[in-house]
Amino acid sequence: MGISRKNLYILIMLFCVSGYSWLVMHLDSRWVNVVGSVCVFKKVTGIPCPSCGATRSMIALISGDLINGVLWNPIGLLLLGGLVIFPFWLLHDLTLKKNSFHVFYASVEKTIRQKRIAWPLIVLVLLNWCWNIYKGV
Amino acid sequence: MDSNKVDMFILSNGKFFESNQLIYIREQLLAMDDSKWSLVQTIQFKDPTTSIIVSILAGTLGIDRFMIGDTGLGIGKLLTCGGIGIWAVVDLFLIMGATREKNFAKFQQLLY
Repeated sequence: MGISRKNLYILIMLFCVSGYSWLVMHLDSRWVNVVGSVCVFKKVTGIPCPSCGATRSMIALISGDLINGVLWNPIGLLLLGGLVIFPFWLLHDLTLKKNSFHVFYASVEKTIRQKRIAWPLIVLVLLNWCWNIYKGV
Repeated sequence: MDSNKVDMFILSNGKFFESNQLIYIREQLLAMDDSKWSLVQTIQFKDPTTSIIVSILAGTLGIDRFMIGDTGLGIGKLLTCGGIGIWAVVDLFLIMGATREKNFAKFQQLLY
C-alpha cells in the first residue's frame, strides 16, 4: 500500500537527474559561489542539518579522496552509491518491464519499520548529526 | 449500519478525509455490519493539520513523511536535505492530501 511503481520510478529518475545536475554544477567552480548553501535548516537555526556536507563529501569522493569524503559526511557515500546504482537498476527494470526495484524498495521499507532496526538507524543518524554540529560543517 | 451512527462518524472524522472520499465512506459504512462499529470507532487517524505543522517545522528532515508512514520517502528527504529544499517546499502543498490518502487507505483496510 506504499508508493506506486510509476511514482517511485519517476521520483528516482528525478533524484538521479537533479543529483547529477547538482554535482555537475558544483564541479564547475564558477557555480559554487553563486549557489552557496541551500539548506533551509542551517539558515534558520544556524546549526547544520544531518545531511549538510553531503555535496562536499560527494565532490571529494569523485576526485578520489575517500577519506575526506567520509569525513565531510558519510551520507555522501550513500547518495553517491544511489546515484551510481539507481540509473542502471531503473534502466534494467524499464527495458525488461520488471519491477525488481519496486519490490526492493517495499522490502527495505518494511525492514526499516521494525523497531530493532529502526532504533539503531535513528541513533546512527543522530550521532552523525552531532558529529556534523561538532565539525561545524 | 444505523445512519445515525454513520453520520456521527462522518461528523467527527470528516476532516481526516478528502470530501470526495466521504461519500464512498458513508456508503461503505451504511452497508457495513453493525458488529464492526466498535472497530470503526477505535481506528486512529492522522490529523492533516498536525502533518502540515510538522512539515513546516521539520520538513527538510523528512519527519512529516516518517509520521504518515512513508518511511522510504522520509529517508530520501532526510538524506538529501529535503530534496535540496525544493521537495520540502513541494511537500508543504502535498502533505495534507497525502495524509488524507493514508487515512482513507487505513479505512479501506478495515473493509477487507
